[in-house]
Order: sequence, then C-alpha cells, then structure tokens
Amino acid sequence: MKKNLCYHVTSCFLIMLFLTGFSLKAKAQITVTGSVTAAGTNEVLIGATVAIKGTTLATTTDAKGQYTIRNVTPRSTLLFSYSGFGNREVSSNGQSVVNVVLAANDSALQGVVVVGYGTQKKRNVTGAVGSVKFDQDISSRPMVEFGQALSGKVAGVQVLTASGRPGSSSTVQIRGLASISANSSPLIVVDGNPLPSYDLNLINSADIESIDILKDASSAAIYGSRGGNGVILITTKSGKSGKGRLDFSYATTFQQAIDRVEMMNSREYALASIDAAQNAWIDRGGDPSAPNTLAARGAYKYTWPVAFNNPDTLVYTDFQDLIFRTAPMHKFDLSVSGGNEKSNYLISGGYITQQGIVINSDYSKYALSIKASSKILDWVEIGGKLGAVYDKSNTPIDRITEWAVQYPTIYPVYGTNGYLGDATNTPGLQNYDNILFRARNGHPLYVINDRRPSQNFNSLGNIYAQFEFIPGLRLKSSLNYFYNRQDNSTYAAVQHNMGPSYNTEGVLTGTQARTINYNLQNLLTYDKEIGDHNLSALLGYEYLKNDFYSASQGRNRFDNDQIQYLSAGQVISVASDNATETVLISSFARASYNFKNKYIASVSFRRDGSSRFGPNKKWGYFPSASVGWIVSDEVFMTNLSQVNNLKLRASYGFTGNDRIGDYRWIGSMQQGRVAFGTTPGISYYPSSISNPDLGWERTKQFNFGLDLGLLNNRISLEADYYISKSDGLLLEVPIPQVSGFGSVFQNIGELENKGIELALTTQNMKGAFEWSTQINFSRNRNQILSLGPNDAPMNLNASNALPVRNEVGQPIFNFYGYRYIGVYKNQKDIDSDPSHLPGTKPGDGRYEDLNKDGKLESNDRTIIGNPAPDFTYGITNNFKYKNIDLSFLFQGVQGSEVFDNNLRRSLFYHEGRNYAKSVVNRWRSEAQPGDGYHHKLTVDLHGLEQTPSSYWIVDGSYVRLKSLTLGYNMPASLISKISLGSVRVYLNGQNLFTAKNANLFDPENFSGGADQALQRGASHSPYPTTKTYSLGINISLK
Amino acid sequence: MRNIKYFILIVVTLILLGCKKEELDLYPLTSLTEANSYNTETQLTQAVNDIYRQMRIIYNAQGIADLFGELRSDNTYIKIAAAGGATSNDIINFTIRTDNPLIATAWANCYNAIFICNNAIEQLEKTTVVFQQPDVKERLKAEAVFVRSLIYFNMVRAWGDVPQVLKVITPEQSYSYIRESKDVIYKQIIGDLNYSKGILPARYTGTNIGRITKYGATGVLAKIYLTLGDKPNAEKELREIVNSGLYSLDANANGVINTDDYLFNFQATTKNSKESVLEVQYLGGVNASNSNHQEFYAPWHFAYHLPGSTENLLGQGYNTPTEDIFNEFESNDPRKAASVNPGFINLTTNQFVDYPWTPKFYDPTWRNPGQNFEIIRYADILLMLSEVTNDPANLNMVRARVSMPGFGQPGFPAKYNTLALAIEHERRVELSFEFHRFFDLVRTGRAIEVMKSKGYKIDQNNLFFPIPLNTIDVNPKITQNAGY
Repeated sequence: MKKNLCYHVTSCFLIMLFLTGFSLKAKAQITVTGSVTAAGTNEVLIGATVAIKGTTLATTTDAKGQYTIRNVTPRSTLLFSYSGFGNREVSSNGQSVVNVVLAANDSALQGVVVVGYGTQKKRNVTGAVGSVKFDQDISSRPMVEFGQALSGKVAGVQVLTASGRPGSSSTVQIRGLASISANSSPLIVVDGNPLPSYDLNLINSADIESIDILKDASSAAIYGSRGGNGVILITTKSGKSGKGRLDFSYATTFQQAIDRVEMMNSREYALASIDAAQNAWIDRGGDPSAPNTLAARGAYKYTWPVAFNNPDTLVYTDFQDLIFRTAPMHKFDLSVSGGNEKSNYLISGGYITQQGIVINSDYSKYALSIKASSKILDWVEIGGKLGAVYDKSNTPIDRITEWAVQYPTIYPVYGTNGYLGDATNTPGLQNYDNILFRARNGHPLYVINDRRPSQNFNSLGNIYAQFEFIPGLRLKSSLNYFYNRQDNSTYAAVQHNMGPSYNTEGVLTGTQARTINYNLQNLLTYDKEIGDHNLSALLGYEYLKNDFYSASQGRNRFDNDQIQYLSAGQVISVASDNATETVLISSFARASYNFKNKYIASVSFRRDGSSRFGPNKKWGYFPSASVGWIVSDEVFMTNLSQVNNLKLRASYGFTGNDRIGDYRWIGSMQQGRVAFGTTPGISYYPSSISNPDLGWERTKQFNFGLDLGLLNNRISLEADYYISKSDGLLLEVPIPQVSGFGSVFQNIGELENKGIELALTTQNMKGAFEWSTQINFSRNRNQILSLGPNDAPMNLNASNALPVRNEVGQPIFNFYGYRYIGVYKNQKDIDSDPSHLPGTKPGDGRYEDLNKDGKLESNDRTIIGNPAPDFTYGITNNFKYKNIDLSFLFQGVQGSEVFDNNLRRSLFYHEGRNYAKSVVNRWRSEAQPGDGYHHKLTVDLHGLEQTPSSYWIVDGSYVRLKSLTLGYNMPASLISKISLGSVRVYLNGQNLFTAKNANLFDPENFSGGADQALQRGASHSPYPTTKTYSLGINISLK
Repeated sequence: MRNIKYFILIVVTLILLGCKKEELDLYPLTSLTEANSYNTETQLTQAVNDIYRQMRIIYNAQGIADLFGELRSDNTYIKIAAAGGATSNDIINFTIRTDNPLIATAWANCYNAIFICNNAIEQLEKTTVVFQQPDVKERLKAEAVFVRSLIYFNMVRAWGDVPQVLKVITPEQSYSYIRESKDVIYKQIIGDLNYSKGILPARYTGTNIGRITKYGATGVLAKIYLTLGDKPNAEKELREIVNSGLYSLDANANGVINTDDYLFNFQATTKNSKESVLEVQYLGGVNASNSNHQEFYAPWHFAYHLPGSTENLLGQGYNTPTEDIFNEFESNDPRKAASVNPGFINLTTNQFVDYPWTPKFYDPTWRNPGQNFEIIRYADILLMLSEVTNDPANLNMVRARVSMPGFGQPGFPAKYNTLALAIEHERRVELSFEFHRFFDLVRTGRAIEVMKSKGYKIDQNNLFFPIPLNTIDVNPKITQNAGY
C-alpha cells in the first residue's frame, strides 16, 4: 500500500516534468533602467525588488532607488515589489526606462498571505485566513511570547492567559473546542516546520514578520491529521536586498498584578467568625447568651477569641501586598540583515530579563537566530535557518497567590519567636489553632524556601534547496528539525520558618526531557498563466519522526536546605523514565485555478499515515475544496463605484486531530509491586484495552465568507460563517465496569461548532491626521451531538471540586451542580418549600428542586455554567499625526462563566480562611437579612454548602484596554544628520484597565496548562495576569 | 546543465522510494504489551502475582471491606478530614447518595481485580508453556480462583446481587452482564473455593510464604457458610483449620500464650505469624508494596506525630474511633490501649490534643509503611467456632490470652448475658478496626437494632450500598438497590 503511494508520487513528478518540457528560446533582449518611489511622499525606495515575471531574473534598487535589469524582452512584464507596499506589474513594451511609483500597502487586499506550504495573494484566498503583521504597532508591545500579539486582533481566535507566570504560554483557541479528550491546541508551523508541541516561547517574537492563522478546514486540510484545531503559520524575518541594516530595540517595563481579590478586613473577619461560631451554637440548641467560654459551650469551635470582641484592635496584614511587587522587565533585541539580488542574511539576538510580580519568580530568555539564502545558480536557491532559544525560570509554589488571598488578615506576617504568624504564635488565639487558619496550610510564606527552577532549550531550523527547472516549476526540498530539552526540578524545603517541629523531610524531584523531531519535505510547485487562466499546483511529500525521552529522579530526607541537589538526599524515592517515538508519513496535493482573476477554485488532498493509530486505521484522507468569486470585477458592478471590492468565498474540507499520546491504541502491561512475606516481587497487569480501530478525530467544516470594500477600501469588511462537525472523537468512552475497565479509548461521539466572524476596518480620516479603526467580533456555538453507545453523560473532574459534564445537546465542559437560589429569609420560607433539607434554619442557603418532586437529590443537579464565551470582540484604533502615532486596543469577552474556587474554599471548605468581601452582605438575622443571596455563616456545615452549586460560579465577562501605545518617529531630516535610518520611541501600556464583575484577579486566568482545555474556567486564584507600563526605543542603522 | 536538473529529480524521487510502511508500526518502548507478556513461566507467574496486588487494593483503606465493614459501623467516625470528608460522612450517617465517589471507586476496583483474576486464569488455561513443576501451574490457577471468590464474597455482602463475570469479556459483551442473584454467586464461589482448597498447599516454604493456603480458602468458606446460616458446614470447615494444628493464638511462637501474642499481630514487621490464616501482603520501604492504613486513619491534624517521633505525620482523618468503641472495652482490657488512643501532644504548644486514633496500624517507618493486614486470624476462627457450636470454650481461649475472665466466669461483664452477646462484644473488641464489625452485625441480623440504639438513622435498605450511579448511567439495564 505504502509502496504504491511512493510510486504514485514519483510518477506524478516525472509526468509533470515531461509534460512541461524544457525549452528556453532566445528572444530580442534589452536592458531596462528606472527608479522606484513611494506614492504620496515621493521618497525613493531602497532595496525594492524588480523582477521579470515568469523568470528567475531579478534585481533590487540601489541607495538612490535606481535599478538596472538586463535580458528584458519586449513582451516581458516587470514586477515591482517592496515590503509594506503593494506590488505592481508593468509591461516593458520595449521601453528602456520604466519609472514606477508604489502605493503603501494600507489596503490589506494587496497583501500576500501565507498558507499551508506556500503563499497566496490575499485576493485569491478562498478559505478563512486571519493575518497579523508584526508591524510598528505590534512591535511596540514588549511581549515575551507571541500569543499576546494575537489577543483581540483576529476574529474567531480567542487568546486566554492561563496565568501571568513569567514564561507561561497563552492559550490560543481557534473556532471553539473540537475535541473532548484530545489536545485542542492549534498546530504551530514556523517557516514550514511543523512543531510537535504547543509552546509559544520557543521563538523570539522579535524575529517574527507575520502570523497567519488558518481557521477553516479547507485551508487547514493540507495539514491533514494535524489541522483540526486550526494552524498558526509563523513567518520569520529575512534579510532584504539592499544596503545592510542594523536594528536595535530596547524596552523597559514595569509590571504589576492586574488586580487584587477583595477579601474581608480584620474587623469584618472577626465579626464573621463570631457569627459562624454563634450560629452553629444556636443551631445545635445552645443558649445564645451562654458565656463565650469552653466551659459553657463545650467546644472551642462554638466560642471565639476574646480579642474578636474588639475587632478594631486586631492586626491587619494585607498578604496580597506581601507577595505582589512591582517588577521590572528589560527586553533587548538586535539584528543585522542585508542582501543583494542573489543572497540575503539575517542574524538576530534577543535577551529578556524579567522579574515576576510574585516574589520568588523570575524569568530570562536568550534567543539567537541565523537565516540566510542564496541563489547559487539562476535556477537554484539554497537557504537555511538556525534558531535557538534558551530560557530559565524560577517560580514559587502554585498556591502562593491563593494563600495570599485566603490567609486571614488578623495575623502578623511574623508572630512570636519570629515564626510565621498564625494562631499558635499570636497571643490570645492559641486555643483556636484548629479553628482559625494555620500557617501550615495557608501562610503565603510557609513554603517560601522551596525552589522550582526550570530550564528550557529549544532549537529549530532547516536547510532547503529550491530548484526552478523551467519558469514556474519549482522543487523545494527541505529538512526541518526541532530539538527541545527541558530540565525541571522541585525542591520541597525542610525549613518552614515555623520552628523545628514543623520541619519536613525535604524532597527533591527532577525531570529531564528531550525531544528530537525532524521532518523531510519535498514540494513540487507549478505556477502557470495561460491567457486568462491562472494555475497553481502543489504536490508534496512529508516524512516526520519524533523521538522523545524523559527521565525522572528524586530523593527524600535532606538534613537541611543547604545543598539542594540529589546528592544531599538520603533516600532514593523516584527513578523512572519514558520513551516514545512517532512517525508520520504524508503526501498531499493542491491545485488552485482562477479565470480572469475573478473566478477562483482550489482543491486539496492529503493522505497521512501515523504510528499513533491502530493497525486498522493507520491511514487517513483529508480532501477539501473551495471556490471564490470576485463579484466587483464583473461588468455589472462597474456602475456601483462605491463598491470597489466584493468577493464571495465558500469552502468545505476535512481535517483531523491526532493530538493524543503515542501507543494509545494498544493495551500495555504495567509493572506492579507485590510481596510474599518479606520477599519483594513484581507483577504485570494489563492497564488498558487494545483498540486496533483507534484512528483520527475528523472535523468537517463548511465556511462561507464575504469580503467587501467600499469607498476605495476606506471601509472593508470580512465576514465568515462556519459550521463544523467533528466526529469519531477520540474519547475515553465510559463502559460497564464489569469489563474490568471504566473506559476504553475509542473514536465515538460527535461535536458541532458553528459561528460567525466579522472583521471591519475603516479609514476614518486620511491626510495629515490619520485615523483608522479595526473591529472584530466572533461568536461560536458548541454542541455535543452524540457520545458513546448510550449517549451516557460523562462527568469529568476538572479540579477536585467541581464536576465538568458532557452531555448530548449541550456545549462541552459544562459546569454541573445544584442551582443556588438565595437564602431562606425566615421559617415561613422554609415551611413553604417541601424540598428543604432536614435541619434547615432561617438564613441557610436554598437550592432549587428542579424536578419539583419535593426532595433535593442528586437528580436536581443541572448545568450551572460554561467557560466558553457567548461572543468575543476587539476594537483597535490607530491615530497618526505627522510623526506621532497613538493606538489602543480594547478587547472583551461576554457570557463566559468561571468556577471561583477561592469563593468555595473561603466559604465552605472553610477552616478559618478569610471570606470574600461580598460575604459582608450575608444573612445575619431576620432583622439583618443582608442581600438575600449570601447565606449565614456557621462552623457546623449541614446543607449543600460543600456540594458543587451555582453559588461558586461567577460571571467571566470583561472588557479591557488590552494595549495602549503612544509612539514618536524622529523626522527623517533629523536622523539623517546623525546617520541613523530611523528612530522610534514609544510608551506602551497593557491591561491598564479591566471592567469585570468577578472578584478575581482576571476572569481569563485559569488553573492548568495552556493546552488543558478541561481546566478552562476553573480559577483557584492562579498567578495573575500582569498590567504593564513600558518605555521603548527602536533604532535602525542603514 | 540540463542533465543536472534531471539528476536532482531522480535523486529526490529515489529518496521518496525509500519510505517504508513498517515505520508506522511502532510499539511501546518502555513497557510490554499483551502480545509479549505471557510467553514464559516467569511471565505467567508475574501475571498471576498481580492478584496479590489486587487483594491489597480491596483491603486498603477505603476499599470495599473498609467502607462496609468498618467505616459504616459504630466503631468509627470522622472528626475532621482532608477535603471535608463529606462523602465518608454520608457512609457513616447512612445518607449515601448514589453518586458517592468512594463507593464508585470501590466497585470499579472490585471489577478490575476480577478482570485481573479472570485474565490470569485464562492465560494459564490457554498457555502452551510447560512449567518446570506442572502442579505449580495448577496452584497458580487455584490462587487466582480464590482471590476472585474472595472479592465476590465482599461484593455480595456489600451490594447484594451483582453482575457475575467469570471470564475475560469485551467492552461490547459487558453490556449484557446484569445483576445476578446473590444465591447464584454464593453457589459459584462455594464451588470455586472448594476447588482452590483441593489444590492449594497447606503451607509454603521460602519465598512463597504469604501465598494463599488451603486453610485460607477454608477460612473464607467457613465465613461464607456462617453468613448463609449454614452452621454445620461452617463448623466442618472451622474444625479442619483447628485440627490442622498449623495455627495457634501463640502468634509470636514463643510457647507462651499471653497479651504479647495479641500485640504481636499489630507490630509493623509481623508477617504471616502462627495466628495468621489469611493475610494481605504488604512490604515497607521505597518502591515496595506499601500499606496505606496508618496514613488514612491518622488524625488530620498538623501537629500529629507518631508516639516517640517528633516528625509531623499529617494523616487523612478517616476511621477515627468513636466514644462508643472506647466504652466497649472493659477498663482492664489490655487490648484497649492497643486499639484506641485518645489523642496526642502538640509538640509546639505542649498541649494535649483530643483527637482519637487507632494504633493498630502503627508503623514507625510511616513514609513507606508495610504492615500486613489480617483478613482472617486464628482468634476469628475460634470466635466463629464458639458461634456455631454455642460453646464458650473457644471464646474464652481468646479472652484468656489477654488475661480477661471468660464467659460464665467471675468478673465477666454482666451486660453480655448471653453467649451471642458475649461473642458480639468479643468480636468487636478483639477485631476492632479489622473490617469485621458491620459485616458481623449484618450477618447476625443485629445491625438495625444495635445501630438504632446508638442514634444512627438506619433501616433495612441501608444494609446494602447503592449500585454506583455511573454504573447505571452506562448500562441502564443494571437495577438499583431498594431505597436509593
């Protein structure tokens, strides 16, 4: 079977080769000269490319904007191009002087977008592709990872900041979640090199020229089994022909926590604690006026510290102030680039040093990149790239922010003996050690001696050769590689600043992992224009191999914290490793055709063979087709002069998802430990069921789009509607436990995503004062269509607290629990509700008896939220006056829900944690009913307080000023005096202002990794997003 | 020049021809697969050995035997526990919801263990590997059949009718397995245990000590007969054990039967003593078969530490002894101090903390403990024998070991005025926290009366656990127990 494929590919190559033939006939040839200037400013353009269309002959303009090109025939067409300007084609018609004026590329329509294995004119795009150019505006946002550049910029692309921890990646979600169990992060392709893992730090953002995002299935289908979550194509900068140049940029940034979580102050906390003790005492039948003593009340929990009677005398420590800081970041980038008409090069280096906004966290990143290409013959180009990024970070324990929020403010940072402040070492509170919160499970500095260093080395690169056999027929052969090495370790310290009796044993565990991934690509392309017919064809073959190895080791029992290396530990606790290999063999083809540049059609096909899947499903097929019609070029539209562009697009395609672990189809044998008497032994047991039919997850997507340009593109609109169905979901399908297993990994289930995307760009003012606006809006609806044999609902645990439920007819990952409906205000309320729980008293929380059967039972649980938003939007405004520019980006999310674990823990899993500020408005008595929503406090929980309910769910909607930039470009007259090419200084602020309802640092944060979809919307007070203020300068020498 | 162009095309074409389909056939590098796991005698033995790991899982803290036998009884409660202990409290208070995760996990563990046993049996039956000693193959199979029967015995007592799976089944087949009457299951496991009893040796030597013996199977059979009310058959099995002469209350085998022998059972390093009839094998140390009882039952308190230790051991706070079990012990009974402890000293404040815990699972190497757990010990055999024969002699042997007056002798507590009550009391104090109490109360028909007298809200329906909700969700043909 495979052999057949190879023959197919081969024969296709050969047939195309012979059909096209190889004749270059000599014609009358002349030399053409001229100048290239910019429209409007009449500045000369240095380094603009001048090429003879259909040949490999090209040159560039010199320092005066002049060019000379030989071998031009009278019938040749000259092609002029310059970065940032629209291309122009001019027929030579035998003239020897051709002067050309290029228009600045303010109309995106003229641009080129990168698509899978090639580029396409924006005009000819028939799928849905979003592009972000790393222009002046984006490079004035000092970012550590490039995900931040996409936020609010592209319709249909949601960017979530899981946490603000230095070095963490943003989550990029394209058109909703299309998978339940498999990874739903998009494929990242850097200069044609598909990366095996999702990590946005592995490339220096300063090296990026543009990012193109393949959103619809017809665009992504060429990536077959890896395209199902969309594809992010990154194009890095290359040297431009012309004089060599040097670019330097520096930005200094101050970062702060985006917000604080509002908690009770000491006075409020003391009153709440008294309420909780007194309410429990009364509920168990105690005399409300019994003295506040152990003797009178039997247990300390029904009493309160005497000091609480004078709450204004209590200590007040803001533990959030203790751990948060204003943290500096410095970012340097330097690049040297240049080239001529045959060769170009670019060498760049970057360095970032960053303190985290939480104490004990820091990050630094070093990046190097070399990229070069050369036409060694007029038909052979050889090039390559080598990039390396090394970063390292330190982070405190994940829960430090949660603890800073929840630790009661009544304790000093340090109590008596200099130990961490808690009940045991605060006078008057000793008896409440078990009732108030303890340092051991909540003081933010309890594990501050722990160390969690992490180091990452990434390198990616390629070498390629491109041959142009005849004009338009090219073969590009490239070898890409990716290497990653990660070193992580965690040292749990012996000392806890709590005295020797709190010392723990000291545990060090470390993991080293390395990935070597290489892939070989052969691409044969053919572009041909015959009259009104334009054909562009691609035939490709790709072989990919991934080799992963990791080793973990650990030791326990450290005498002290002096030496934090394995050698100092006394007991070996961990020694294990893991190794996997993946192979992907693919062949693919694409043909695009347009007639008169008006009627456009494209088809593609990919065949993937993967080692990940079962023997019966090794091969997958991913076809796609799309059509486009540029209506505005039709004769009948010529009268509508306001409409200068109208294009209709439609596409349909198949993509897949293979983002599961290796060997998942095969039942593997695990090693167990047994003993007979004092003799240790081992056992082997099957840990999963083999499924030889395990195959791809498949997504079919229909996309319909409309592009409209009005008033000479002063107003342009891109609108897309899509409907996609993913079937054969890779799913841990629950099966009867009697089989020995709770689930089997199968391709079962169907999921639908449909939505609309709108992107509107307007040039509001032109001239000396320029003002433009970009608005994007997207809305996605997700629904599960089927799930396993009985469509049995699946409850998954996102966190240990709140079940996430998948059921047919609903969006995936719904929050599931009881519906909280406020407080029983009085006994009458209770008596009139037959479903009240036994022992309910006025002031207790009330939950809805959904099926109205008079009982509150587990079948009254329902959907209480979903982390996916109803819609998202972004609005960018750019202003420019002379050399000053101003831009700001507002970005928002509407209708998402967040599970606030801080609220849950502080209220119900209480143990003396501080309460959220809103609990001030609780029910206290019938005379003081509070806001009717927050129930009374008690130390004896007896209702559903600890059970998941909508009480823990908060609104995740927000709108924020994502970025604000004020820039100044020094006038050319000034900088030419100091021999500089250009100088720009700017001020930038990010996340300066957020409007939200939730009492969270940032509703966008969630607890979990960037690619853990299941964790979305679950907030355990994670490391907050940062608010930043930057001052930067970009200098170019030419 | 033209030739070079052709040459390049041909070279690239040849590279493409190099691709092989076989490259897609990759298998795990760091673990075996089922296809290469049953090819030698050693491998087959290792596959069967896993049934001993499964026994551990079933008898670990929060396994089905613990949840039903101990947590549900009047011996234990939860003072404070990690994660609130709400789902455990529901078991204690007879307010279980059908989605109780502890019960769902226990159910899943039982059927996973049954699958491991069935797979071991099938691999032994179909293998062509010739064992060096052919009877070892038969013995291994009898061990697996035994463990499967033991699990079913626990399941029918906890859930009543349950699906009966006696072979390896596919996920598709699993939908047709619905609840089987417990009579059918009892009949099956009685037959299976008799089969195992006929094959298993009376004792082992060397590194096999700790495997299931003939008398382990006999002890379980006796308990099944007693549970079914078949006293003659129970007596027959019990007498076989007594008459074997292999077992004694002289656990430490020093020739003297006294309190030390009782205490010997609960020392961390005691393995398969004279008193042990059926025992779960744990082993202390890193990367070994550690037990989890001590950690689960130790107080969930940051100042808790083991006696004689200054290191904090943060337990999980399950199975905290009730005041009622404290009071059950006669004041001069040496077993009291060995079974229940009222609290500990907070070494930071030097104050006593009132938080009871059981020292029965004490192991000073608490990070990687390895105390064995006794499913059936000889004292249990003697107490059962008293129960089936109505003869207090055996009961009194158990009491005499700890110097307590026997039933009918001066000083015996007057409130246990019948032999049945005396046995009930004795089983509770002798075997406390060893997963017997609630099974005993249900077996003797006393559960509702006894628990109600102590304020528990219990009715007939509470004598079984609910079938886990997710089991019914996945296969709606599975019925629920009454009252849930």
